[in-house]
Amino acid sequence: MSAVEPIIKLVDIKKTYGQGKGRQDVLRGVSLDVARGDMVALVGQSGSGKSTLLNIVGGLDTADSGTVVVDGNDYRKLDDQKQSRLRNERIGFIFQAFHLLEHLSVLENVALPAFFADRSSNVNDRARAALDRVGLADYAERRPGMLSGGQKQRVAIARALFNHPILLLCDEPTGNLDSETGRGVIELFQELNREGLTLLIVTHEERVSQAAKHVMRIADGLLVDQDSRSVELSTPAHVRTGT
Amino acid sequence: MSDSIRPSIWRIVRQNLRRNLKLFLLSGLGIVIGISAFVFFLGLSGGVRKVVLGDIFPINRIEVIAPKTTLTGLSAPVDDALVAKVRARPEVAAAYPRMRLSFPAEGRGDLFGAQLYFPLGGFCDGMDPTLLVGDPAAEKFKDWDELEAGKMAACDPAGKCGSSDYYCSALDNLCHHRVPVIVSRHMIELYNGSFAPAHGLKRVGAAEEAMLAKFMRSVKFRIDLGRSAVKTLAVNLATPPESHEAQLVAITTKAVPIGLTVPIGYIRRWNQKYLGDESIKHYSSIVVDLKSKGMVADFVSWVKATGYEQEESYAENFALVITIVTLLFIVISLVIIGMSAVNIAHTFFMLISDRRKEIGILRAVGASKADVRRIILGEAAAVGLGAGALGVVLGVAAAKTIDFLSNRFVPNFPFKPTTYFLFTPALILGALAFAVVFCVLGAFLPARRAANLQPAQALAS
Repeated sequence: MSAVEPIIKLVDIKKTYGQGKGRQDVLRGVSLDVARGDMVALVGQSGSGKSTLLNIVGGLDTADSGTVVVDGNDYRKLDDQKQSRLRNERIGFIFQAFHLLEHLSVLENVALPAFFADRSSNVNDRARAALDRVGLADYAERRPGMLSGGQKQRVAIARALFNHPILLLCDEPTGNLDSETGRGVIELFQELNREGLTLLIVTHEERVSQAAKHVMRIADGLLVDQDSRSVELSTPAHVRTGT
Repeated sequence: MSDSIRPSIWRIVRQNLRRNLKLFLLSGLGIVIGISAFVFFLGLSGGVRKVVLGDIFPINRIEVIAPKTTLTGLSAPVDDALVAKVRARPEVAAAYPRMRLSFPAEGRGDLFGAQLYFPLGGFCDGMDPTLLVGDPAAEKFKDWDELEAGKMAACDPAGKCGSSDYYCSALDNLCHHRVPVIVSRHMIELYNGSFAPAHGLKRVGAAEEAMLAKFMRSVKFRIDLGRSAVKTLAVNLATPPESHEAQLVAITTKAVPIGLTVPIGYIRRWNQKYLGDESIKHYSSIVVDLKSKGMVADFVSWVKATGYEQEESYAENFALVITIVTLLFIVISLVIIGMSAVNIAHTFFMLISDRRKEIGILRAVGASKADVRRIILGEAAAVGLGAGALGVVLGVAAAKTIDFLSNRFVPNFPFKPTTYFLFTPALILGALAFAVVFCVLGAFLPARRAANLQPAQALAS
């Protein structure tokens, strides 16, 4: 482990869906650390549990057992209010399906986190700045339905960046984009990472994993492999397979 | 709209209301009907209660009398000592001793051109002038013979006194203020219902009553003490008959229901003159105004424990009937509103099912469970407020329509009110609160379900 505390620390995470014959062990004891400023691609086949793991890191799902610590916050010790505030202020989400609210304008979608923040100032300026960052400043008043897939994803990125998070969790961010648009998104991720943002990206696309600083592979609910391109680690196993 | 975003949960609530307007209008329809029924029936009940228990049988007014029958044949006196005791009771706002004119007398006067002649012995009561405190007529309802202003110089040679408020008395050839008289609305109804039809006289309708109110003091009549239409009097009056001039000063619920009411000083002097000193030691009753109708039971218990009785009143019976009918109406209204709340619950369950993904998105950007609950309940409260306001408007509009039709087409009847309804701010606010509370209750379970949605599952739906 590096001298600096990891931004994500998972210890022996287990997650099961269903009961009886329908029981499915999605995560069977996953432990990992992600260092601050890292850009990690989490790869694996469909149903391997990578999205579930991402959701658990983001607090959108709960582990049946194990420890989740994000930015020094142990989820077991956080009530819903505090966990929601952590998501609001420190974590940005980007999804394959964009998940924009169709009845709101692009600008309102970007500013959506401000609706749940304890204090929100300069909302308009910040939302426009975030849109400008993704090259969509002129689309502020449009509705999401009037945008292309690539533009929607950039709006979603702007929303994720609105509160200047320290961690970006991306679930198949290029899955619905053509190669050209996808490349633009990947370049944006790399740029954000160079600026110090930590990214954990669930993907099955090689071009995304190639852009990451290192890659973790998940199969059958276990972390099975890590890319040799990973940053130097202080612990013998930066990524530890489940016990 | 996005030019100046002022982020708040209520903005989201507003947007959700706007995009689901049609659905909310439909689901709020039951609340509209329920609240309009609630407002209509409670307004009707309040209006009827006001007329029946305010004008016809004032419920917080009780008359204390001596027992009608006792084992010994002796009964406790209604005297100044009892008046003092009654006034000292914590339930009592005011107490007025009442003394009846207890010897033969008659009245003669003119009402809308008709010469009236009526017996007064037993139908004329004296009340303390403070009875009318706060009433504009209090200025006139005084024992003028006891006041300096009531005594004037000798009549002029023509037997006149200069002011129509004064008359020249044949007893002393001095100008005396006319005896002020008040009557209750019962008298108007009695006149309209029995006397006028029997004598072929014109009824006192709304126009005449308005005129009467305007020119009240022009209604003058004579009181002849010691005279009676009854040929063979059982009482032997030593004092020869004498006449006094009187004038009407008010038609008010404070007057005794049947007969004339004059300041008690006149009756005291007249009874003393014709019946002697003994006749003025006791009052016929004490009229008591209680501080609230809720104190009636306590006060009546005290009256009975003291050895006196309460004069028969229908107020309590009517109050009971009105209360039962009102409760029935309230139950009907609440059933309608309750069923509407179930409908609201269905609507919100459906909406939440439709909005699962949206709820997941809100949770992902930082909405807490409490925020999600607030959004859903906020929408429900807004639906309740809107539907409640519409219900109130409809209820009041229906009432106004009925009042209009009644005033236009329904013939006059005793105590016919200009409005059958009483809409107090408390009723309106209560109705709105009911609508909001029922809608919020209806949306409570859906809101809880929405808040407890696992964000990841919601996003995957």
